[in-house]
Amino acid sequence: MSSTYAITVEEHRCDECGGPMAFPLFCDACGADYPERSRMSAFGLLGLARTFAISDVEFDRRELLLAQRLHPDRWLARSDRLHRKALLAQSAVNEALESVRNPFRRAETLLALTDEQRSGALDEASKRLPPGFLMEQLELQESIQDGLDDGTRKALKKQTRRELKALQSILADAFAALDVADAAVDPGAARTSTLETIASTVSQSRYWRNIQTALRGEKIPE
Amino acid sequence: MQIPLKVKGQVTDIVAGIDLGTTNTLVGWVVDGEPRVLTDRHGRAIVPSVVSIDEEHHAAVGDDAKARALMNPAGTITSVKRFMGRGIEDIDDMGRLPYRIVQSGMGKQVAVRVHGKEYLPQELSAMILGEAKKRVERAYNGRLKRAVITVPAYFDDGQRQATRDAGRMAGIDVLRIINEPTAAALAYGLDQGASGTILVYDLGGGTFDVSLLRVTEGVFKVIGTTGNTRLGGDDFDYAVAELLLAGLTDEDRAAVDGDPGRLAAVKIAAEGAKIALTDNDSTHVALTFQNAGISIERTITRADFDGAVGPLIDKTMAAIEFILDEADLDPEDVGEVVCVGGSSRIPAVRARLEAEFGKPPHTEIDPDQVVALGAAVQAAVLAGDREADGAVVLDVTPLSLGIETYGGGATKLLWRNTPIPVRATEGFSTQIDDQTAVEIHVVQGEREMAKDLRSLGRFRLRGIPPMPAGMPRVLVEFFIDANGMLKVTAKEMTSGVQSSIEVRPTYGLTDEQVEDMIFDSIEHAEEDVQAHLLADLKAEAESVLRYTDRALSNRPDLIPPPLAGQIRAAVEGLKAALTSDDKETVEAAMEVLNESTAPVASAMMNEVLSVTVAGKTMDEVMGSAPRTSARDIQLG
Repeated sequence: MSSTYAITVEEHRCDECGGPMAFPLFCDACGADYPERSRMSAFGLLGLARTFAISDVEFDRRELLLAQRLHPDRWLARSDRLHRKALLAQSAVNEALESVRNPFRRAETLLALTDEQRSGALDEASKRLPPGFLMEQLELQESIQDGLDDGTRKALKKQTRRELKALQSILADAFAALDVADAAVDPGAARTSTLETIASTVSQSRYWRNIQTALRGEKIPE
Repeated sequence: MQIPLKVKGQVTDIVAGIDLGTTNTLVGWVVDGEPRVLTDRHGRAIVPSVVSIDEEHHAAVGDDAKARALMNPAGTITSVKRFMGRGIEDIDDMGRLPYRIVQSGMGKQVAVRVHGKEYLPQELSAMILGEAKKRVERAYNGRLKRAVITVPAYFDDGQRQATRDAGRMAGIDVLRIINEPTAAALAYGLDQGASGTILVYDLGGGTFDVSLLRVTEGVFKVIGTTGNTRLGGDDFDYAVAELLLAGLTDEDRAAVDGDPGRLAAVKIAAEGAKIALTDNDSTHVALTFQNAGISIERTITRADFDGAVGPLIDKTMAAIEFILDEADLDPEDVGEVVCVGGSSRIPAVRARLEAEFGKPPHTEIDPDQVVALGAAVQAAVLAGDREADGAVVLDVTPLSLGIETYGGGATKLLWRNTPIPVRATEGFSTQIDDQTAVEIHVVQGEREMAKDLRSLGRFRLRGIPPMPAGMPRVLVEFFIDANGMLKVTAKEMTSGVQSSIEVRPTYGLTDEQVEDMIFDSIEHAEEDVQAHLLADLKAEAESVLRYTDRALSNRPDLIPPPLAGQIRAAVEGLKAALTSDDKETVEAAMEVLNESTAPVASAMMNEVLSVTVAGKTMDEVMGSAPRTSARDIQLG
């Protein structure tokens, strides 16, 4: 059996001028704005498919294109009203990018869009962590607080990066599997178990990201 | 080089980029698609960031102010940038400053008290901006109404607001507050057009900044920025000073340490040695304190110097490691390294950068001018100059923004390095029944506890309808605009009542207060430009006459008789010119007088050096010191 899998990105046209819109909240051609669309998902706002597999290059490209059209600096010479609209549009772009650009944030955002997450069906899975995981995390946090020598700090940094990379590739595989499951006639069990894997992986990534933050310290070494 | 023709009666609109520096202020402007630093009629590009206020509260700014430091040490203010948006608790070297810092009557911010009157840092900065504005307006027969002003990337909201307010007080429409490293990258980026990651290494007189930017198709994106506000060229001078003092006996050492004048002399010698070692392999320093019978004589080699400053360079490299780590990048990922600030000229610094990144850093543009040039590029873009079209700067907020929570902690709403403009919202409720107001304390910084963070302001929401505790839902919105400055709005959601919001900036002024302080110049903006320029010129001439007169009677020891005769003749010439009401005549007469008094001014300045200890004053002087490889300084 083969299935074709298509991703559709919604395209918006401006009601006022009829032109295509690079950003659904604000028409950079005629200045019309559509604040009622601000409840759209970050993916929808950015004109990106609702998927995990988005490359850094793709984000950069969207960010550039949108900034070239919407950045308030480009609207400075126009009326205050238009400048203000552009300012709001650019800030909405930045907010949306913040929630999807980092792969772990993206996974969280995607997960939050699922019915299962909303209904609380994944709460159990989020708490399911590998044996010994919590203990290890606790010890690492304590050792950081007690102070690490340079060598150990560097080694732990490397390990953290490695762990996060591994978790990221688990997420990539899981989301790919989810897309396949959803394309099947009856996603059922395959979808549920994949979502559970994602929920647990996202939880683990939070712990490692906390370690990463702690290792960076609050400020540069004096 | 093409400068717009001076057409009589036609006034040029100068859209400037201003580097409002701790030591010096520079103005840039894009002319024919090319950014350049503007000079005044005397060819001077730099306005020293110095203000001198006399007993009658007449202010002199720039070179004139510098020259008056000796006669008026308590009224001559240097390094005012350090006090912008700061409180008295932030200033830890008050005892060493020759002028008096006090708590102002406006919030927690400091003021400088001069001859019984308080001057806010914003006002003093506005005077410096006003002087820079006046100089270029005269030189180019133009009007400088709009400008981009640069600030260090680590500046918090209060410091940015203070800078913007200074611009407004000087009658300048501040198009944008831009980060200095971003400006530096823009200066280089204009003719590059390439894509890649840029690291900006900014080692100034007293501060160090490092920033990462990504450039793609004319869009400059700041990926991250960090810095150390207590690391700069001054520290390098102190390290060299240690080398000089190392050979002294404990007794002699105490005699030097206990005397600010002697310490200042050692620092000057150290700085001279540092500068000499940029182009020489060794330098000889001879310092004699006749009264104390101490003499210091030492040859410092490049190797001695590198050894002494190594730990300081290590600190800057640690910051680089930090910022790369935060951006998840390796040194190989950095395409270009850009040097900013006079101290980036130190060969050991450049060598370390080259070793770290495997390529020499960019030094093609004068590190002292690069920021003003980049600001000019940004100003041209914002003013809609077609030739500069295409460049967009996507900046980030350098510090996290949060709210004090119950128990003295802080909740972060926006993390550092978040792209701006950006918005963050937070819901609040009440803790007691029928509570109609909520106070919110906004803080900025990376630490955990509110007391360790920078207080930006307190926002009091009023007009909440009386309801049981926990029922009102107040939604507070924090909005950081493209300048990196915060605005707050609030709304009570259940009743839909727009709560009135009262903003009390901790270290700044309210909009109304700024309005009240805006210089008179704005009221006269529509006046005939020529008449205005003449009036300015006359005022300046009167002030020059007053000070010359005082110098002649107070310091005859510094003025040899033939020179005194020359000066008196020039004074009479200027007085006569003043009656003519002709701009050119007055200008010419003033020039004659300035030339005749120049040797006196520098003699006075040299003397000032031995009596003041304010770090920055030394820097300014060394900028014009001859680059000799041997220095002999004799002091009492």
